[in-house]
Amino acid sequence: MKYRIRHETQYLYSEPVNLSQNQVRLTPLHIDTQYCYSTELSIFPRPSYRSTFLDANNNLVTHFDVTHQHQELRVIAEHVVEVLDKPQLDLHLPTMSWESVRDAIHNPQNAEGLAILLHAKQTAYTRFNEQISAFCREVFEPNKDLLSVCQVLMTRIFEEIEFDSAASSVATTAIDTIKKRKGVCQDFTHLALACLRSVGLAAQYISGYIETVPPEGEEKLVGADATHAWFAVFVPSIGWVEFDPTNNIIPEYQHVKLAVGRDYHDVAPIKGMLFGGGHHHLNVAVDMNRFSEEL
Amino acid sequence: MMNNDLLFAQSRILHEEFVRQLQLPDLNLHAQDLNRQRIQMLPVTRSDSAFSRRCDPVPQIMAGEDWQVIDEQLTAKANAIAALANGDLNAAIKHNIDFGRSEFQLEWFQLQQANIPVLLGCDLVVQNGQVNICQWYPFGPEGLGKLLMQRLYQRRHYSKAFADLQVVRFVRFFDRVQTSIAKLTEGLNDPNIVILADPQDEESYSEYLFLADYMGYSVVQSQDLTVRDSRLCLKTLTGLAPIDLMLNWTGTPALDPLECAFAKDNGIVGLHHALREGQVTLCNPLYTAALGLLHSESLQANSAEFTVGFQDVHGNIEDNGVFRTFVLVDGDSIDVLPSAIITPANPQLLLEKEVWVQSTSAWQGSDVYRHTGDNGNHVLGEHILSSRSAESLFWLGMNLERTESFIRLLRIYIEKVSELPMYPDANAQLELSFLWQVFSENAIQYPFNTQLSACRYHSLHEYQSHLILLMQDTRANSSILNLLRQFMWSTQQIKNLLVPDVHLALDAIAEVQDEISQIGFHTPHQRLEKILDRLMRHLLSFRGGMADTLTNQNGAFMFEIGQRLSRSQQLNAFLRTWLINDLPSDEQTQYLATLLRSQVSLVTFKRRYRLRMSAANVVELLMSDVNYPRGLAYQITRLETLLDMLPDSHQTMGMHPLQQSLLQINARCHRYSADQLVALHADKRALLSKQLNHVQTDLDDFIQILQSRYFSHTELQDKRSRQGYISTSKDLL
Repeated sequence: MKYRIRHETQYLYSEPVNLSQNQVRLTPLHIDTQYCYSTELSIFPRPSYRSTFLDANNNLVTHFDVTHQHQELRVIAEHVVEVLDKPQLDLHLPTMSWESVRDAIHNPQNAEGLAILLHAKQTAYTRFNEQISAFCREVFEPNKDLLSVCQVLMTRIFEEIEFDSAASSVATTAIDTIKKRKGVCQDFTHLALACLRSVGLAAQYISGYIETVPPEGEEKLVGADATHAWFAVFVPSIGWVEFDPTNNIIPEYQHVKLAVGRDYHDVAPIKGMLFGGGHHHLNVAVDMNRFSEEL
Repeated sequence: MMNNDLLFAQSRILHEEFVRQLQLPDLNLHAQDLNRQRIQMLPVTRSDSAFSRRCDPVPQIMAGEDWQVIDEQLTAKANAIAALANGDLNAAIKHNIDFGRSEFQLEWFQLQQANIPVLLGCDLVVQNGQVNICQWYPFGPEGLGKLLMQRLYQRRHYSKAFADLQVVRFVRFFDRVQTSIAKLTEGLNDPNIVILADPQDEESYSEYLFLADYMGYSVVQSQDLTVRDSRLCLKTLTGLAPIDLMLNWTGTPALDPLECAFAKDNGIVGLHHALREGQVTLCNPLYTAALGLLHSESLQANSAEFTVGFQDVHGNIEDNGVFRTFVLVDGDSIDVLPSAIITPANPQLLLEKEVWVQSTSAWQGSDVYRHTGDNGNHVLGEHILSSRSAESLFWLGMNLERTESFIRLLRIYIEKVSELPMYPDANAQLELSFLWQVFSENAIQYPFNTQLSACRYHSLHEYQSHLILLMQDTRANSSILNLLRQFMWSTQQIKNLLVPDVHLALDAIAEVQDEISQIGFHTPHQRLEKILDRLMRHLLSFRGGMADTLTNQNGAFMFEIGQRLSRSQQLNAFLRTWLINDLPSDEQTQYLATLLRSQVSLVTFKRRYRLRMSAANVVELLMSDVNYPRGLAYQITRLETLLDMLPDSHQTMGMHPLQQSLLQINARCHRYSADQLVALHADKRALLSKQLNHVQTDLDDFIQILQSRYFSHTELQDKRSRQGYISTSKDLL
């Protein structure tokens, strides 16, 4: 499935910003399961410095500085991406127990192994407490197949955590979410990561887009889409297997991956530091539409 | 396993012999002298907690053979972690460091090249004859400065013993450190090297300042630095100076808040990107942070068995201790400093002891340390004044002037409150209530309130309470205590530029500060006056000390710019507060006399104008007279001269924006005659009010331009300053 995506972020500042230094992770990953035909990042006002690099998780990051006074910053990312067919994992087939996977990743022998192990460690967003451990204790029964338990975990989060965009903020942690039992995709994902890491498994935070479909008979509103988050668990010899706990689905062709990391801090689409600016107002508009033209 | 008693038997004999020769009275004096030196390392705004330990006046003597055991074992342990110290990720995996620590970042190993020389602090204990490592410190040789300071003083005090014992010197170790650092910038044309330290309010700052001065490097703080176009730069008065090598002595690898979740708030945004682009070398490299995550070999320091002869002025105290020493790892080569600072395991014993190691080889008395000058040109020159220092001097000048001005008016206020029972007439009541409003509603302090509410009478009791608040209320924007805090904070920022004489004045000011915090409602007015007089004397002595010792190269002109600007603001606010409204002539005479006294101008006024106490004469003296040192026009003329000291203050095309601001203020001071300015319209001096309001705006603009162009180095939109000029020009024309 091919998509044309437009993602516009606008910051309006109450006072002039004298210096703004930013990092943007808004370029879709070019990987086995998705192909990025074109991508363009436009920044206004024009940065005095701009450069790209691959971070520790192999995300393409654009670093830019705006060194003259401004009261508005706009970042527009436009991509054409194709989500390729994924090998379907038959979750009913026994693969390997979650304990054996846990034991395998905790003895890294090289840099790749260490990179996986780091995804099994707690982070600021994914710390766990007794409540989280209790939440996943019933799921992680001894000797259960890893992919089955992940699917059960995903369903349990979907059923027990209410989607409520007013209930959380960008700083909400997994412990906050389990307490409130409410949140958005970021919180669902952090909770899943905290559960998986509480039993020693390696799990990834994925940021990206999901295609939304308007109710039948209604037109899709411009800018109504949003960025999305879901998680992936590491399975030896298979790699990272994705789960979307907000929608209780295994991502197939409707999810476009932007960046992966240990938690939101690693993948935030835009983060920056600025001098001046006073208060700011943020506007985000995302459009993700199917693209049928011949490429 | 070797027994400690056997291992250090020779050291024990040597130490006891050394102690036996000491004289107690002499030891007392030496202890005081040593700790006085140590206190000078403390932040100016000192607190008891900051100065937790004292120097033991008796060094710990160790036999060369005994130290050799420590040296060899420590070298072996350093060798075992050398691969990790040199940035080998596989070594990190092999060493099983604590990856669970949330601060660990895989990027530490990707951002910098391997095999950069590293200087490590190391805590060790000796247990059963074995050297066990408690902790490695990769980001700052904390303790090395204290050790060096102690060594310099102890060596001078016990010069004969030092020579007799043939104590091993530090010279070779420091030479190796400097050679390794210099090696990193080989091939660069005129490279710049700086040491990044914590802010001045940390004790380590002063220690590093001492150490850096000894080694010939410049100490900077994160707010001195900025990353532009992926280059790490030092903000200086002359612009941005690219940095080639930075020694990170902040105690943490988390310096870039853009990429580290746990970075300090005042970190360096974009530093990782500068490293990624290879535009700067960071030493120690980020990957050495992994050493701090190694599991400790000895978790409990008090399990050490080596007995140290801690001795204070009351006699001998035996205790075991933790050794802090320093190791240089440069590729395959490992050097251990032949000394240590020992901290007693007993936390009650607040002492630190320096180790003297007796030489085992031939004595080399002529071995003199060659420092500073021969570091070549790779150190930032002394002529470079950092923007932070310049800004701090500017605010120091501002704060000094504000404090003095506030004290003068408060002194008059106290006098008038004291006289109230004697002269309770309406005029006195009215003036006191006016002064109450001036103080309470921030008419003469930033942000300079121009709209005072109606005056009302207060009781003597209320005035007395008000006086105490003005002296010591820390919540109020304007109180002596708050102004002093701001002033002391400013002095803290430029500690490295202050000479000992100026420190004496600061110590005296700190004492008055303590005294003010202890006064109360029942403190007699006479004592309040004495305190303020004493404070004023010390402030003037500070001002004199600064004028006498601070060179323009070190930013004296910036200090004066701050003073002149603040005095201009004060004058403007005083004139506006006292002169805008018309008053009956009796009242006016009294008010004007107070105004002139507060501006130290009454004597001059009387000599010049005799008894003609009129608003026009006051305006002429305090606003328009370019020759009167306390007048506004004089301040502006002086500022014009001082601008010449600023880099790039002359533009070939058009006028410098700062000169534009001053030109406008000058024009406002002289455009109208004093009589025109004080002309009344409905009991108000509208023209004077308008001119003074404009002057205030122009002064604010001046400060903003100064900050943007010289301190923060952020571009002002040309359009903005030009627009400001055009609109005000129209007004002038």
